[in-house]
Amino acid sequence: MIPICLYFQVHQPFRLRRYNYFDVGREHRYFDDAANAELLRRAARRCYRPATAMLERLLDRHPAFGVAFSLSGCLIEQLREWDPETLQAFRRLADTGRVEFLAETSHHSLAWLASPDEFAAQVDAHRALLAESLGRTPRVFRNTELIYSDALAGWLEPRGFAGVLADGVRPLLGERSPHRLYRAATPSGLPLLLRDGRLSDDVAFRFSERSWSEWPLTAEKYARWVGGLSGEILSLFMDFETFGEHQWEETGIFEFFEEWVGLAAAKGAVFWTPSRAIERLPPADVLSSPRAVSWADEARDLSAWQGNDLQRDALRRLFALEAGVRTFGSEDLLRDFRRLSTSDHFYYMATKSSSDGEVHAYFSPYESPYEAYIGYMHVLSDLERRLPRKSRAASDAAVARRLAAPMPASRV
Amino acid sequence: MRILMFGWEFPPRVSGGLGVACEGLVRGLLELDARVTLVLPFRASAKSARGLRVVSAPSLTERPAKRERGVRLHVRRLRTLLAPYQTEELYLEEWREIAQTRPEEAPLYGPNLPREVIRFSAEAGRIAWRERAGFDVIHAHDWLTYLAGIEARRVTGKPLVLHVHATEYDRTDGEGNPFVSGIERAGLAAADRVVAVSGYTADVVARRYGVPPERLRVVHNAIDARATIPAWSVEEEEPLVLFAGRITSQKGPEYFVEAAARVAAEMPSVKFAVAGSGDRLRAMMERVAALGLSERFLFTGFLPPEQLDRLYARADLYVMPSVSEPFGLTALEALQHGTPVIVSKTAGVGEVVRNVLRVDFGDVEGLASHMLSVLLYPPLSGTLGARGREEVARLSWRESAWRCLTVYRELVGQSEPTSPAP
Repeated sequence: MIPICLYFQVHQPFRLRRYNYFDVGREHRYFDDAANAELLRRAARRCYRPATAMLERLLDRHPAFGVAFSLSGCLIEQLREWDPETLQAFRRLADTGRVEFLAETSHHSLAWLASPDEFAAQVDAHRALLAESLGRTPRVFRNTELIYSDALAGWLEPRGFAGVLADGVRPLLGERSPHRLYRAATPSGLPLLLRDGRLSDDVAFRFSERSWSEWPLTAEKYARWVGGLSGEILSLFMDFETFGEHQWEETGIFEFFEEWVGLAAAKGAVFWTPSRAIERLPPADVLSSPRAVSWADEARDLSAWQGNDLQRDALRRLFALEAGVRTFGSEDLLRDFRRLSTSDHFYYMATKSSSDGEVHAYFSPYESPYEAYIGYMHVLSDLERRLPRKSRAASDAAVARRLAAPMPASRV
Repeated sequence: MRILMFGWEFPPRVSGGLGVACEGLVRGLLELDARVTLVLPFRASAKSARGLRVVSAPSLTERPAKRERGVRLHVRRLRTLLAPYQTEELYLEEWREIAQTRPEEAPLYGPNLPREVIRFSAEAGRIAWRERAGFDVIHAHDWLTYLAGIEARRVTGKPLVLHVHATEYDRTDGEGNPFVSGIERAGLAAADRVVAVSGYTADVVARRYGVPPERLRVVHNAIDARATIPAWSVEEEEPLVLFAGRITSQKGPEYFVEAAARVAAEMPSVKFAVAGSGDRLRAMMERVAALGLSERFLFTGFLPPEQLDRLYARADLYVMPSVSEPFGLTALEALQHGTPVIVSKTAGVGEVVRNVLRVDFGDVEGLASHMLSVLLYPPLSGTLGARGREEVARLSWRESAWRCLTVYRELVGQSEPTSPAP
């Protein structure tokens, strides 16, 4: 039976409050604390608490069970502020020693696409936050929404990461199987662990979809599919909110998962964390993708956040303020700047139609992508006004430079 | 399917969406092989009554001596002073003018609006009886023709569809004219099917007039693609924001002015154009003057379509801040030019296009903020304009006509119509 590697992403953004043109210069609180607290507590009630409790039971019951998490810095901050008890539930999982926590940016951000300096700073900030709140030091990296490219692997390798996660998409894999450990196109071949998109999404997206030909998905059926696989590793990566939020409790998602783990364990399956998989498996071929891939939307590229003019403009305008914020800004300014770098803000601005559009709309607190862009841009105007005058001139120059020079191909 | 339709004069004769919608629907029906006997009001004195043009039906003759084989549109003219958006005051004004200048003509019409509506319906009944062998279903548009539809139904026993483009509650601030709302109530109660131009209007009709869902259908208005759309090739320094439509309280002209004042305070170069006329025009101009904005505003009065086209093309933003907007066809016209649009959240047009900004009517600051956003952020105006134009290009009156055919067939008991796709 193929070893299974489970990783769950846990993230909540700091959503913006309604913010209009006339708030600029008058209102410096950008985030909707009330709504964010409520949404966090709802997610905790529906998902984080029952799902961590389920994992605790499974760890107790099955010695071969283990999982990995990536907790965004935004989520950890929100839990500290609004629901410390749930943070303790993650801490208890960490203390078992059988749950791995991955590295990412502190703000689940798009910094990788815009600024190496800010990216590095956010990776460090996340590492510090994880050590402080969960007592863990991450070894394996996963970038925001599994954004990955050769350049990212090249950045990670000299910084001592043991490996990196990505989506098992065709531009990376070609005809190869996702069920092996690969090497990135870096000097030492950084280990690369790839998500099985189909089997992951069968649970994360399709579990309760009645129009799906395989509905209802039972634990037996899923165990049969997994049992029939050949290869060295099955990577199932998904949002933790799959349990209880995206798939409601009433769909039977909790019972399904618990039962499936039991069936798999009974057949001798082992559940490896990413670090364990990387230690145990001999890496196979080198995979290269100069262009960035991700786990988002049908296209599995950057188009979920950088697919239209609104999204590109917003990201450019944010990072035009980076130098000013860094050089002249206060702690408050830096905090707001970073919260604005979170990928979700850009995701809300997507103008895609069809099924991608529906998924974007499900997550978005806005009536339309235009509302998302407008609110965001007015907030940026206010942020810019809070900078000292001299740095504004500097950021204007930076805007001009960035507009003149499009992003290097290695990043996009 | 053969339809007896009580319609309205087509553009360029009328202001407002009713004539445009009737024309679009008739064209769509003809494209789908339906036969239409169209009863149109005409004034004895009006020259433009001869100006009817139905581009897709070249066989149209004004008064065919007899039914010709193969001709799918027949027009019957009915002499009346009724016109879309008429009020009792406007009617009386016109009738008195005729009584003074052409006294021999005055007895042809009712001495006031209610009498004229009743006279018109009696005439309509006579036409329906005469034409009874030539249609299967009766279709009438807005309250002025509801009684005509009811009378035609009474004398022929054929099913009646009433098409709601607006109700008295939309047109007026409060309860409106009890005579008008009374006709609406009676008409909608008597109709076999009620068609509303939007879900929003269907809600109004259900709530205000108690039309039950089994008799209520939504058929959205549309717009047809055009071979050429005039462009504005000159690069303009000054951004221009456009308001177009009847200047009545229904259309929210005061919100436009108040929002414009806030925008003007932030953007020294911005200009505003107001195309249209109505009973609130004077108040609007006075408020603009009081705010010291006369230099920034251009009032064009009522514009014929080709001139309005040029304004759509020139404008950087089209704003429709209506208090109540059953549909809002002008938003589609603006989008056809790639001009970004802001509409009230209640506007029915928001149910068929997504690439518009929507504001709560009366939220002047929110409206001004959105206006400034469009004017200040080129990626926003560019995306709204380009995607809006693409979206509008997918609409067609043929689709709306097909939905009407579906409604007729519920009543006439024929099999499902085939899809409208070409």
